[in-house]
Amino acid sequence: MNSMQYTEVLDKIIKKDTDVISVLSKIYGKRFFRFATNRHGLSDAEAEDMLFETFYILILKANELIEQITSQKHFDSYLFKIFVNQIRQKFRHERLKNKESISFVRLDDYIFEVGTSYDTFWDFYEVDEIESPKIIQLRAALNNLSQTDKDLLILRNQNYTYKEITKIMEGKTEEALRIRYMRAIEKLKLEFDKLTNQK
Amino acid sequence: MKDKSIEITEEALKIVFFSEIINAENPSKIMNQISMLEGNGDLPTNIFKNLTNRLSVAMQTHTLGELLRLKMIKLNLNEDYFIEKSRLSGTTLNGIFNDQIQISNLPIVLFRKLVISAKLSYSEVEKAVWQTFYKLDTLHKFNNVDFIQTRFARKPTSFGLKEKFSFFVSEETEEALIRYLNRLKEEMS
Repeated sequence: MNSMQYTEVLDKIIKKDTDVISVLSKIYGKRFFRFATNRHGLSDAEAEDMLFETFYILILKANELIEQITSQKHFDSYLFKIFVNQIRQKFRHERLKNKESISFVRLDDYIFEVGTSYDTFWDFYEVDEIESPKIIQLRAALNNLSQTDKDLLILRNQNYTYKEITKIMEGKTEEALRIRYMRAIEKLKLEFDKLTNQK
Repeated sequence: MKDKSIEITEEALKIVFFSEIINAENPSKIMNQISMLEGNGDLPTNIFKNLTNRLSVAMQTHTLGELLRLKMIKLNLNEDYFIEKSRLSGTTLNGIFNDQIQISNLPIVLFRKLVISAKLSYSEVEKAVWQTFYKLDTLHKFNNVDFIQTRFARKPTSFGLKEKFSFFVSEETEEALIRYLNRLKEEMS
């Protein structure tokens, strides 16, 4: 049952066969749910809403998708992108809503500041983040790092522990990763400063 | 969101992560990481139950367009009949049949005529109108996201309906629909 192919899933949705709902929940539900709660700090209820929205969009778009999706991998990616976008929208919505009540913290000496003013910070949000100059610069700075450093920064940012990361980055100890992370943050700062000073 | 304290670099990295996933041609690397670290077990029982219940309702409740098309078949009518009885234009009627129009934008007198000509009760219409509302709202938000076009894929109910959907619903348009349905209810009573 859990190995149902995407064509069958879409076909069942089109036929309004509600059996497909438990199949979707079993195939994607737990992983997506834990990704939202463990990595992005959503409550159980919020993560449930994200899953609902994701599958609801799939239901609404099934007639188009059956013509457009070309493989199981394509289908999985498409669903995952919808889900991540739900989290992003929620994240953005909450940040904008709580604009006045958010306090800034520095986690440790290794973390640099992109900017210290509210104006700079909200620049991330008040234009679409994809277009934000600060985000473009940060992405460029990240792309100047090695793939390992970039992956490490992004994984830590999603609250993966060093122990968990050792499962992905085989052959590296927790201690080695910790040191590498600190160095990667320093490199990111240097790259970002370089790009900022070029402007 | 549990923690409202923000470190600015963490925040920026999070935004970069989201946009990288959404713009990725193939996010399989991240998906593999999730499979490896988040496991493949079941959802918590209460979440699974809520989710399947909400989705079943969403899947089985007819939109207004679906309801009208079913009625048209059942009563052996055609679109011309509804145009004549409701005085709505063919284009508008087509938009309603295809769930492309927010009902609160229609003149209420004409919409009432349409409902009566299709021999629908207020409670049937209310359910279907809310279903259409949430469908349009969800698709509108989804279509405004830039990854939707499936090049590979590039570019977001009160039968207790509201709580079955999420925070994305615009309160302003929802209020307008509530007022509209209240007026329709009065007109039909």
